[in-house]
Amino acid sequence: MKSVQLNNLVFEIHPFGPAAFSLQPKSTTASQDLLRIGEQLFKQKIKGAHDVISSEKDIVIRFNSKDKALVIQALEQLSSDSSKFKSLQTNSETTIYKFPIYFDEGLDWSLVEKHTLQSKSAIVQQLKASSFKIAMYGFMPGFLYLNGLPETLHCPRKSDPRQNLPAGSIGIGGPYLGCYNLSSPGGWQIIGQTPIVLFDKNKVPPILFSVEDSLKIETIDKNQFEQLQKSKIDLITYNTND
Amino acid sequence: MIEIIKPGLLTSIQDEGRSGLAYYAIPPSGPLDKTAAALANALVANSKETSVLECNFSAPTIHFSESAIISLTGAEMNWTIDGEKIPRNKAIEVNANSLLSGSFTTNGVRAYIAIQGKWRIEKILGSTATYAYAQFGGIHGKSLKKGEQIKIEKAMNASFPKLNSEQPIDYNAIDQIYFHKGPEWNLLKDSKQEILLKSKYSISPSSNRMGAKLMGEPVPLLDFGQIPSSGVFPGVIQLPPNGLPIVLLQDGPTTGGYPRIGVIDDIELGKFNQIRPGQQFLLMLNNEI
Repeated sequence: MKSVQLNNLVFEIHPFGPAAFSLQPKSTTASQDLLRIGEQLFKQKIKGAHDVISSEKDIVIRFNSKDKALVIQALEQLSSDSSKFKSLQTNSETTIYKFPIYFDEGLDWSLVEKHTLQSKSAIVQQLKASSFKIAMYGFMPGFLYLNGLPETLHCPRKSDPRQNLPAGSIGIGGPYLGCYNLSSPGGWQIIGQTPIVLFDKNKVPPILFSVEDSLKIETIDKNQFEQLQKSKIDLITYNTND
Repeated sequence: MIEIIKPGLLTSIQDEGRSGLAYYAIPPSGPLDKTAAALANALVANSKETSVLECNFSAPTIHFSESAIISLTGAEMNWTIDGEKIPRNKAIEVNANSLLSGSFTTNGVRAYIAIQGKWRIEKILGSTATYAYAQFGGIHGKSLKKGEQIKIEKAMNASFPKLNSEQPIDYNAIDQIYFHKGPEWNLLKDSKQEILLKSKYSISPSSNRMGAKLMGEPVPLLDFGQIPSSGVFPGVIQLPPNGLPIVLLQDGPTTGGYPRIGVIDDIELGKFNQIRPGQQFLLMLNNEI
């Protein structure tokens, strides 16, 4: 089996070692459509597979090597009968959350200014005028890929990732705004930090707002940042408090 | 019950790990050398999902308040019980009120301690595996600390296991690691493939349970451009723009923006994780799928 058709999109099946496949769209596909299909594939469970990882480039399916035939069979069935590939219900309930960020001490401002040929204050203004949504989960628990970054602000990732970034770091990586909700290594261009908690380890998914919701950035100063960080306030409480 | 007298270096509770949560960016965690961890449990007739202790580089000192059947696998940490040398890869009876101790490793990096019975450790998201990055699993999501205790209930009909001992592997002799091609292997031109396959690499001391950075001849890609984030898992070999491969490990990320030039399978990854800093090896391409 070389390809599979899901929601009218044809995917090439690339072997990824003995216990995984990488499903890659055959034609140019908007990353949003790809992420949507990945989400559907994850939620409806593929027989024989233990993990589905959805990303903007491919959908990775992991299995025990002895279950490979089962996975191929399940993909064949989905491919031959499109009615088996259930479409997801979209939840129309959306909330817009205020998302405070302290920008002054971002580590990579000079690089971002140089790359975008824009001043820091002009960049912050554009960020404030934008609206951000979850593009995907991924990288590490609590990390968020956010859609909504203006194209003029796209920046390449670092060639050598930093060993340790503090929790709440906000960075630009390619076309995304990213949020490191836990302290971690990271290769994105860091422009600021949020004092707000977005992660709950006992929840699946562990993020406090949903894919339908939006974030609107507001700028805060150092004093506000320190006060909010000390209070360990989470996104929902922050938005219901005032 | 056991008590940690000296914690060793990043000694942690692990088990088969978390499955099915990679979509939400939660990695599997679990032992860095699955083969050695599974052997440890098999030797004491524990079910394969039982927790074990994973030790790195240096042995912990552990007090046993009750008698127990244990096994020690993986790296050679020159284990002793009350000062008496004991072998690896063999079920051993430990008397009540005795002290398990060892040294810095002389062969390999990760050692496993299995103890017969049921471990009383809270499961987070289906597993007891310690995941220090997000601070969950194990005890408070951290490596073990001095004075911490673990309760292990003896099996009702505990008997001395029949499985024979196994010859320990000479990890210091590992000088090649096989990998399969990854989805972006073809981004490497022939000349770059040749450098990768003919150069000797070693593992950087700045590696951790998330990933191992390799040191050696870099194979930088030209026209790197913007590579969109794609799915990854333990064993995947990424190539950042500096050209030095990174092997993702058990606590590693679930997506990444670097080209995935290869993947090391589970058994081979266990061997890889026993390679000491400075120990040189060749990356060998396995063309089978």
